[in-house]
Amino acid sequence: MKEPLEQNDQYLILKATQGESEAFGLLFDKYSDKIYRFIYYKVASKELAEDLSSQCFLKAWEQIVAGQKVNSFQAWVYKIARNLVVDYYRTREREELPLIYQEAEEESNAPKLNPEDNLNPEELEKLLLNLRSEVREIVILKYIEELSIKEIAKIVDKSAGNVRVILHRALKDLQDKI
Amino acid sequence: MPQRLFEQLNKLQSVKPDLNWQSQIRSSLVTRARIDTLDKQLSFTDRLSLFLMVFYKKYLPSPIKMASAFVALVVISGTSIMAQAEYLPGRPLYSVKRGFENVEFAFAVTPEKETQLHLKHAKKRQDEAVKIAADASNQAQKIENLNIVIKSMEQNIVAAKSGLEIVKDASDASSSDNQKTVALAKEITKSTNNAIETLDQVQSSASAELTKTVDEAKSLAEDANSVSLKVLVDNADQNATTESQPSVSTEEVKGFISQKLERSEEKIKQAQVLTNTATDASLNSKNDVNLKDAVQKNTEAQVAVKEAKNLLNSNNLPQALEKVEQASNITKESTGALSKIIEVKDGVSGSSSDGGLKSTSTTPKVEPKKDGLNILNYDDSGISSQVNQTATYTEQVDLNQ
Repeated sequence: MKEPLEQNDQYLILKATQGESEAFGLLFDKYSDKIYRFIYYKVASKELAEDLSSQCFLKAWEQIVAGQKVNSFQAWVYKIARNLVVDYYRTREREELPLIYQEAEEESNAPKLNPEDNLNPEELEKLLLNLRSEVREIVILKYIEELSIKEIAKIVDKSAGNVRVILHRALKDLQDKI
Repeated sequence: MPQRLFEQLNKLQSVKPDLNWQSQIRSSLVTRARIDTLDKQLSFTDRLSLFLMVFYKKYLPSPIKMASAFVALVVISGTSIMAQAEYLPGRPLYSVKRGFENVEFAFAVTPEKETQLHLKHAKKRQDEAVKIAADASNQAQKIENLNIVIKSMEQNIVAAKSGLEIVKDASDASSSDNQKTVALAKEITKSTNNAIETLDQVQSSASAELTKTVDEAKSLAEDANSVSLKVLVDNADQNATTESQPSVSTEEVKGFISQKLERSEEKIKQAQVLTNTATDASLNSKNDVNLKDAVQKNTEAQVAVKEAKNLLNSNNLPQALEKVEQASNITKESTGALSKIIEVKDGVSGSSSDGGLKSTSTTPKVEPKKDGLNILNYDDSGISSQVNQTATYTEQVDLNQ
């Protein structure tokens, strides 16, 4: 189904820069859930995810208004979110080890799961958090946000082939663990 | 399988931020965007991008639509091409062809265009009539098909004539309007000349059952021809007095009048043949009077033709046309009267014949009546007297004099 013009990212960006501020509101409506989830599963803190998500959209707007040319708003805004998380950990690196990594280290043994079972969200979250950060973000984008390999490759700055390999390895690791 | 576990991850789409937070951030972002763009103007490139985006999205069809449109176009044009080749009215493709022709009228926005379309369709019907007439497979079907196409052609010619009258009435004194009217009149004159010629051709190759239809069509084509020729003559006359640039040359108009004149002469010749036949058929004194009258009219028509020729030679086009019209009308009257005499004669011979013997004439028969309302009166025995005609009745005026 073809996307209506009024929901097209490029159109909304141009409209927002033209003075129709509500257009940027529409972009926020379209991507806020996704960006929040992406950050949340990287930082494992609701408050922190909200804070970083706000920063992400603000930064996006600042760059748009400064004249930044955006080809794919989705890939671009995920990249901003990703960089914000990286920056966040970089600044916190020396202070403390993030909770997520602590958990990952503590629970080096994967949860005992039956692959045929229907898991609840808590179990799925555990499964997800057990993955390495680099793998996890790709799994999130692929299986939660349901993006294509090509779109994921753009966001994580890797080739499509590389993304496929990472996903394949993630599946293999998981199989070994369970 | 781990794959199945991963696939269950989409359940985590239910994880969403707090609605209050969302609304608060949205509101602050929109405010920020409003403030930042208060005195900001879009660059030319951005404005162009926006325009192109709107243009492409709104006015350019999607590839699927384009592909569908292409397929539809191929199917429609294919059917249209196949239908164009169909000339037999009974066939399904013929209806398709006529349907396409009707659609064409939706695009004819001016009376000129509509008239031209009628002429174009009249030409198609002529071509069809020629093809049908040449087909000797099924005589009954052939007559039926010819009747359909000739009637249709007739309608087109009548509509073209009305179209010319509308265009003529609507045109003001401007030279462009006048030129349009004249051009249309010229087209109608040519088209009706061709139609009459085709009808003659069809008549000669088809059976006598078609005579009535062809005669009617020819008569209507002649009417339309007279109207259009009148427009051309008036224009040529006007140009001669004002010495302005003619829209149609005098020689061209003379050529058209000559064609009409030739047809009148042909009709007079046919009337003379009918006179001879009617002379044999004359049965009583009243019939004799009618015959005399018809012969008189024929002579008058010949004189009118002769005068028309002289007027045409002296470039007096309006009067030449008038004389040709006069000759045609007189011939029409005499032909009508002569035909009736012959029909009655045929009717008598048919009814008095022994048993199943029938008249070979294909013209409608007029039953003789005893009340004297008909042309001929019969006595109670049904036997009518033969009147010997004098040579005067068959005297002919030498047209070449």
